[in-house]
Amino acid sequence: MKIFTTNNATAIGTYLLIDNDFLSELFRDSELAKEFFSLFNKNTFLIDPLTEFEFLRDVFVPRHRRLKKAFLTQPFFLSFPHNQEIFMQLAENAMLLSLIYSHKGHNKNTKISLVDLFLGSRCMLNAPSMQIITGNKKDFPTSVYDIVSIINIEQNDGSIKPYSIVQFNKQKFNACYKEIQKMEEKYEKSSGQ
Amino acid sequence: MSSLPNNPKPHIGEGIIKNVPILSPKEREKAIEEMTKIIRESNKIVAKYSAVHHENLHDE
Repeated sequence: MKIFTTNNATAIGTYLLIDNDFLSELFRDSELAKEFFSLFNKNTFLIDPLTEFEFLRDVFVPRHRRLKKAFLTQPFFLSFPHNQEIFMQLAENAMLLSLIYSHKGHNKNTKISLVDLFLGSRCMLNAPSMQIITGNKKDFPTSVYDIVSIINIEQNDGSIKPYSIVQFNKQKFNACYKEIQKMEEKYEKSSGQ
Repeated sequence: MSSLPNNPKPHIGEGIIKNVPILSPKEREKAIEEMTKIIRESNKIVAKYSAVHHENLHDE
């Protein structure tokens, strides 16, 4: 497998939060992983506890589970410690994002996953220095996030799979947030509360 | 910015990233070597269990 990037790929931020689909892609191909870590040698790759859970779940072969755990402890990756106070902030952000997505109709057909809501929420908490690399761009809608770059990865069957690097946009979020505030005020007035 | 009544308030840019690993080129090279070994070993296991699963399917 081979990596093809857009011209601005090297302009991405320092901290990259890795979604499980991209982490799994790296874990499948040592040549791809080698190329990726050589290309992005100035970045720090962050693993959210929920991504770690997704990566390790459903692996019933003990030796395989140990290898997956060993992969996550490689010095390229930085994990976040579990912290109740931070979790509460993340949960509040995730709830607000879900309200915005719902208001904008982003989760009309398929619901945005819980893990991606929390990844988006962490990106918001650590804005503007953190970006997310994901193959699931639709879970990070353009009404709140910007695409910084695209990484294309050639698959074994010759097809190309795109991975987006997205960033939380505070101005866009504030505009969406004001909209739902206004809407809430309107509902409260009309219901006489 | 005021928060929504009875609703969460946004936390933007309040996070801090600590203990960022800084790798020397030599440490980086060593880590890539170790990672390569792990991935190759994992692929062997995946191939082995896929084959076993495939055989079982044929037995059925």
